[in-house]
Amino acid sequence: MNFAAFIGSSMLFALFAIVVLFVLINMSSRLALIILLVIPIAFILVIPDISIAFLSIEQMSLANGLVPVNNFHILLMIWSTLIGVILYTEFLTWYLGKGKRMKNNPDGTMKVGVSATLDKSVYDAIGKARDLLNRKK
Amino acid sequence: MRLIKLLLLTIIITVFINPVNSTAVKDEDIWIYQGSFELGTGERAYLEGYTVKVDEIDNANVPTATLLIYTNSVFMKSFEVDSGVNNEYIYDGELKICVESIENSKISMEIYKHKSELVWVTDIPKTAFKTGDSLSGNDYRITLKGIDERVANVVVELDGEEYERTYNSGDYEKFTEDFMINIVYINKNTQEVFIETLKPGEPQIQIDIGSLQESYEQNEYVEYELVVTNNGSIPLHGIILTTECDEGEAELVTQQHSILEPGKKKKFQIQVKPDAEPVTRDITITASVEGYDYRGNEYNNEKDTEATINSYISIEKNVISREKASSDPEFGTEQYFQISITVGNKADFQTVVTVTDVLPPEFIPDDIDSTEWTMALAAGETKTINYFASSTEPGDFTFEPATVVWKDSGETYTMQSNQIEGIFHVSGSRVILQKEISSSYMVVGETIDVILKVTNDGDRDIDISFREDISDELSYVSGDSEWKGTLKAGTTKEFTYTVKAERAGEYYLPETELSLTDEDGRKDNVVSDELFLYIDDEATEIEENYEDTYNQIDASATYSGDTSVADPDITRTEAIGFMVSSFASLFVIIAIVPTFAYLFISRVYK
Repeated sequence: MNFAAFIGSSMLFALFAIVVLFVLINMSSRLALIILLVIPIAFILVIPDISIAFLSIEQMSLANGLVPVNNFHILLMIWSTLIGVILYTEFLTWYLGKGKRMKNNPDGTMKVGVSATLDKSVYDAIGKARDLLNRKK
Repeated sequence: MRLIKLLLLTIIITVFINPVNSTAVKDEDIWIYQGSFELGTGERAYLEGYTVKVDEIDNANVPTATLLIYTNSVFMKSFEVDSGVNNEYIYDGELKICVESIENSKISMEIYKHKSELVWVTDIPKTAFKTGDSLSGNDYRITLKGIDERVANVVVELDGEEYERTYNSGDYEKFTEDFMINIVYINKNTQEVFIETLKPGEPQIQIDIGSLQESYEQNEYVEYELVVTNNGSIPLHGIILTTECDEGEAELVTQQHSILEPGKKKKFQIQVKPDAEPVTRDITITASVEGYDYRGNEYNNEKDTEATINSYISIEKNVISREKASSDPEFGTEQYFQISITVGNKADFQTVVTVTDVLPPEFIPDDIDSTEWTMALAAGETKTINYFASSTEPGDFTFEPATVVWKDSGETYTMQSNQIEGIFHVSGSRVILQKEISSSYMVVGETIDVILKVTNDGDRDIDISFREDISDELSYVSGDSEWKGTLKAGTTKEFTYTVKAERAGEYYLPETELSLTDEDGRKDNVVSDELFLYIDDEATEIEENYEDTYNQIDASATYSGDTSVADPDITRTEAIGFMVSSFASLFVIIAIVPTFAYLFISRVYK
């Protein structure tokens, strides 16, 4: 294991993740998704040999040499993590927005939304747990 | 004149009378036993000069037989005998027939012949005695008591008794059947008496085998000569030769001969038909000879003869070397071989045989698929297999014997033919071409040596030529990439040239084609193998590492310490494509759950 390569690679990946998360929080989740894909591809387009060489660097070899882990694998892990974060952020944003819209519905047909039901069940569960604990005392 | 003639005749007769006298002592007028015969009606007993034939046998109360006597095949007399009072008949004072019995239409008789025959042999040779001298033999003692005028006074002690006799010169006396004394000569002047003693002689039978062949075939007689010699001192009479064989049948079981004088030989022809056996084996033929002396004492001797009988199946292989025609366009060897295998069945029944011939590995038979033949051989039939074979290589070769296999009564028998004597030389041309490279791995810009080794393994000079094709990935630097010349028989020539690697990749060096022309102008080609060559790119360090670690035993250990790139051949587009597809795959997988949740929620809470 080459420590210099490991530290350098880690820093680059950390920077990449920070940029994506910054864009996700402050700007747009869609933009963050695009940046997540475009930056590595841009590097490959511009400096293909160096990029491929960077991705091919083997950082570690797990299971007694059976599973080599290259920078490419690490990139895939970062991609999957950040794609998950972005997608669920987007989904939760939509879901929460939809619940709010339904609460504010003027005809009152749908007073109790999904979130309210969930909240109630969560509160009920917590209350039951409390009762159980008090009984034990 | 007449008187002179008469005188001469008298002298001659006198000269010849003396030896007659001396031998007369040893001879006796006796009935010589000729043999014992058992004859049926019409059968004959052959004697020396006489033939006795049984004409008729009458089985009455007292059985009688009528016998006929022939002298030198001329009928002489007919007479009747019986086994009672009239059991002895003497013909012409020469032949005595003693009938022993007449039973079951057979007459048993002993025949004697009257003859003056040598009976006595010298025991103690002629010895000079003076008065008082004595001499001892086996069971006698002779003492010369004195000489009076021309008479010798001799005392003989025999078997404890003492006999005193007076003898003149030339006197002899038979004391018993086993002892006789002969006063040879009395010398009055010196007062010496020359005495010899005599004893009865004995015949002795010696049997020798003559003209016995090394082996006999199944369907022929075991035929040889049996020589009977009388090594004794008196004649042998009534000789009967009996031939017996457990593994065959004697053509003549008994053979007779009337008399054998001392020192004489009699040749008997023995013929035995051997039994049919599948294997070669030795048979034992026992020949026993018996005979009698003048007194009827029996003497016999026996001899076993081992004769080799060949199997009834025979196989013979012959190999003849022949020169190929000079017009034969085929390059290579100059001789071919004619192989003939002769198989015979000497039995009196049909036999199915399988003949197998094994050629040297360098040989190929002409126009036949295999050197194995199955055939039926009729009784007494002989078949010949002829085929040709030629060698693919020159050299010295030996041929193995052919094998024949057959079955008899459920058993399998195998027989090999004769060994093929000698070494067969095949002249010709044979060129071996070996192509080698100094290294099968090289980096662009490096040089390697290509070595061509040409060996003329034959015994003929060959003109050879070649020209190497250098592929585009390599460039010629120096050396012998082409040559033309004569390669002497048995020599090896090596050609080396250097090439430089121009482009990276995996290549096969093209095969080298060697053109050959032999002394007769026949042409041929020899082609080398293609050689694998890996040319590496000089800029890629990885491959060097790869090459370095290629031969290490623990490849994985080396691999784990390596932080370099694995695959240098991936292009930019391929890399982008791969990354985009990876990203899309991850996105799709992760998005499955939120997408379904979104669709569900959207549908339920419209």
